[in-house]
Amino acid sequence: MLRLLKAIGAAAAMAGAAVLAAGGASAQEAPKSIKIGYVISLSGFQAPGAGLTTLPNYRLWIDEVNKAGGLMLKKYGKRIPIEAIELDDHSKSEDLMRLTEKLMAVDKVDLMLTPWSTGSNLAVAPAYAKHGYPQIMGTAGSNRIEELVKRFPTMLWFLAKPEDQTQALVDMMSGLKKEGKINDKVALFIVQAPFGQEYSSSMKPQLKAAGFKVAYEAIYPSPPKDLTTQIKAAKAVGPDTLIALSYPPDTFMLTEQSIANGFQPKVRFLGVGTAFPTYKAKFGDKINGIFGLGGWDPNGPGMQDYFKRHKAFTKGKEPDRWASAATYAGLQALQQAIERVGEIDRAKILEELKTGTFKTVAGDLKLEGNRDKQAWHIGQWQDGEFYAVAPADRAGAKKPIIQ
Amino acid sequence: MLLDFLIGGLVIGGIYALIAVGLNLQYGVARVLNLAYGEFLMLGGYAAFFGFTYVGLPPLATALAGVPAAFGLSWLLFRFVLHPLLGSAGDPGKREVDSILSTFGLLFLLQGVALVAWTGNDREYSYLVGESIHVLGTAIQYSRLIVVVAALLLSACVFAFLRYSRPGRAMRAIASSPHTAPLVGIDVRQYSALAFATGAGLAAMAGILLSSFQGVNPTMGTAYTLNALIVIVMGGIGNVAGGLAAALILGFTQTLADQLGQSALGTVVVFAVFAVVLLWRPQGLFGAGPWWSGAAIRRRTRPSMEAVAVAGLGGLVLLPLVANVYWLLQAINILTYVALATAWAFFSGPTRYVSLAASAFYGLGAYCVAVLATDYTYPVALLAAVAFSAVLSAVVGLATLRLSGMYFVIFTFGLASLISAAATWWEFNIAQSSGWYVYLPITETHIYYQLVALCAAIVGLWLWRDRSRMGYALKALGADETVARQIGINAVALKIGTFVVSSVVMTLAGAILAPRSSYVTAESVFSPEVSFLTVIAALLGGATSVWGPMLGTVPLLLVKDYLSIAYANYFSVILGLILLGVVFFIPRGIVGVVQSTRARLRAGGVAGLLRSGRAAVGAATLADMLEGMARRLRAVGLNAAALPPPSSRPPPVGGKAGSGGGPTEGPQRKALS
Repeated sequence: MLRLLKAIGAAAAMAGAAVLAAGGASAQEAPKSIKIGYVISLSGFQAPGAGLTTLPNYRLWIDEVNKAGGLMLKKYGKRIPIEAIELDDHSKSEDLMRLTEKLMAVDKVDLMLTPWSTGSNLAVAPAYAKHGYPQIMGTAGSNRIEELVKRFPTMLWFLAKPEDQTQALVDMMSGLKKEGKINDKVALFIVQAPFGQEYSSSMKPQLKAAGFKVAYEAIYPSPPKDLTTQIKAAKAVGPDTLIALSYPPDTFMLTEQSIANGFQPKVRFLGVGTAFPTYKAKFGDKINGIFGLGGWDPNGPGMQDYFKRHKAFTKGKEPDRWASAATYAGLQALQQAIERVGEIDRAKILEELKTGTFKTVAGDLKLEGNRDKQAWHIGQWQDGEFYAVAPADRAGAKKPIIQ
Repeated sequence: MLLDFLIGGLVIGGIYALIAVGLNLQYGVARVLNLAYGEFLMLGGYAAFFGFTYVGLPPLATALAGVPAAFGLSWLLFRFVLHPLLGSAGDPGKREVDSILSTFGLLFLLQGVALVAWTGNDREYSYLVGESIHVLGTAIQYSRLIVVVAALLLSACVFAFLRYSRPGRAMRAIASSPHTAPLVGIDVRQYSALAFATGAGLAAMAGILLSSFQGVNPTMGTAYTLNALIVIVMGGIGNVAGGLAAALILGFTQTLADQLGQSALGTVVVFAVFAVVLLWRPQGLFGAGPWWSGAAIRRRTRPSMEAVAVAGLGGLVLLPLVANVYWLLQAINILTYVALATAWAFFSGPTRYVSLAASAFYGLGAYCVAVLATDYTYPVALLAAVAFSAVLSAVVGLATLRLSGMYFVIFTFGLASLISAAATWWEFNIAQSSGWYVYLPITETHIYYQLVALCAAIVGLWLWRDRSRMGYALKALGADETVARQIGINAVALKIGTFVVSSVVMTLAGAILAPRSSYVTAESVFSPEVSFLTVIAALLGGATSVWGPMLGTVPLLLVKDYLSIAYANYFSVILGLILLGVVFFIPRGIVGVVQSTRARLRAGGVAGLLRSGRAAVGAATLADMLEGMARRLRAVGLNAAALPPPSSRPPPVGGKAGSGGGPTEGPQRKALS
């Protein structure tokens, strides 16, 4: 027993000495790499979205930083390369939560990037908050941002709030109605999913307040087999506005089937998928005039260059026109925050992200209340480009076109 | 309006029919419940995408090369992999279990290959976009028209082929009696391979046609497999005309719901129609081929391993004190599936009903806590979940435990979809919620201890049952239900009681785990993968022994997690190969290996056990594998032209061999009358 105690004592003393020695050395000695981890859906039902919007930007940014020698840390006076750890959650939140904890608690990565989609980000928010990792979200949106940020102060939102986006659309429609360009009838398609609920619950009162009538409403399961019946019924009530709060498969189906059935109201707004480059590739000039979530200003500072680098890095794939730029801007903000702090101190980096102003592809970016209030709300396809049209007062916004 | 209704129903029905006709051949004739069916469809979709994008071929031209290619490849697959795997399983129950395991492996393998080769992104191409033809003033899109015509044409061809051609007649003979078909000179292996390959060719065709208006990605297949299963079970397995009729019924049901402005309810109604049809006519609306209503399977159930690792429980209790948070989460994950798989085997082991309802009950538990716990406290939510699931499982048990074999499998799968569709509908339309935020003061350690208690409870209950009269009654029931009834065993009450206990444990597992997620939606908690993983874990370990599910779960989940971290890109491929390997080399499950090892050790005496326990285990495992391999290799050879008669297969020793989904007899009503 005594021997055991002695042994423990000796071990403890040695461990203590080792810690002291390590602490002393780290003041001068720079780490070999900055470990940045992320768990994302490489497979499963979320993989198409993650592979289109998020992954290419993460990989592009890491590649660019490392080609430049790494992130500049003032504390050591040199550039330190990024060591990326990429894990697959198979589109399952249980795996996502477990692997996130593994990266934080076992691998002790220096920083984390975030998963794709609102649901995934909400699932890991407690872990990011508990371990103090800034959660830079390029693909999450919620009407409850204030409440969530109070609970999880590490959440940083780079997309616009759903209720702001729907309000922007309704405001634009009100203007058209006043000018006598459209009537007050709206056909509403809603996908039966949290996305549809979030957007429709804010949009319906806004439509009512602006004097619009929902003349036809279809709620359909995701993904639908066919939407012809609903499109014909919608066409029959004679609306000048089609609003679809839809997921990518239904966005594509609705677009195609409304063309086939000659249902082309003056204002056509569709949900997730409208901003995808595959949407343009599939429908070409048939989608001219269609509105959707997001949008971008291709003439913004650095935007053309970002577009080219993205295309070159992914062997010809264009970025999507909603969350891609927001995701990349988030990474640029992170990079600048790290370099301003000059060391890997997550609390300081988070503080800088919350308060600093950053030069990004999405313009000068400054968070207010942990979110980017300047993020683009609504875009429109005009001659092969998905231009941002709202908020209309932001620099770079294009005027919407109505036939 | 009526014309729109007719066309709408035809289009949706045509899609259903097109995706189902191939599986009907594979399942109805080749007798393979091919869970990887949708993956062949996915490969067809990719062929069309690449053909169009890089060569400029229209989809129908791709079909000219793609369908024969799919036919050839899957012929080879059946001839050299699946047939040798399944060939030695003479009885339907074992064959079903083996086909579930091996095609599930195939599913992972094909998805993994597609993922590595083409990434998880959606692929779209633009062919005949939005172009349509006007019939009587109503527009029909070309892409949909092609689907409807192809569905009708292919169904008619397959129907005529089975009905009037010589090979078709041979196939029907095999379908109705695989054991007597060889007696009249039919080469079972050859014709089964032909049917399987034709089915795969039809799947590829469906994928090629659908890809012109639906995006293609590596994981798209599973949803199609489910749809196809529903159609062919409703129409009668192996009955092509019945399948077509069922597809149209589903199509018109959905269209009617669309026209009434209740599209979302359509899904619920479709599954409800499916459930009602199964209860009313388990053989399908239009009757089915007879092979799975086969003869009684007599099996002995071995007494379970008595070596209770109570020390293990002690270790489990102490684990959170030493493990870091990741290992704690890993342990939570494993314990969840130990609870699920043990609860599954608690019912399915002795009764041999393969249930795919795990995700329904697990999801129900999680959902109850998510919805109720914030307003009414966690214990109240737990109680509500228990009450809910007890009532639901009692009702389901009363209604369905008359179904036998595969019908029960598919019914439970449909049940999970029905509950999930109903919850999604309720959440959106009644509760009007965009998901539930769950913030409860329950830590991972709390969850862990609750799961330990739950696992201990179900294991304890099982051990108690094994020693009680109830255990013997269940054994008698599993061996021969008719005899069991005659000696005064209340079979229905016993089965329902066991089903309720099993369901409540699954529900509790979901409920206990719910506070882990801070955000819950109906979509996220009802995942069919929970059902699959539960069954695979239990079958892997062996479902007739109380320790089997545990022995299966622990390595399965550890290997799965290790692979997904160490070989993220090839995870799916490797997991698929492992599953195939398991069916190939250890056909009796891990419990089977352990039992044969124990038998060998016992023969060598206690001294031998103490001296070289590890070496003996290794040698025994190897011997078991070699034995299995030799048997498989023999089956590949010429001497296995026909399925070996049941008497020639090795005697089942516990393990998954006893857990087959096979019916214990014909439809229950026969026994009652």
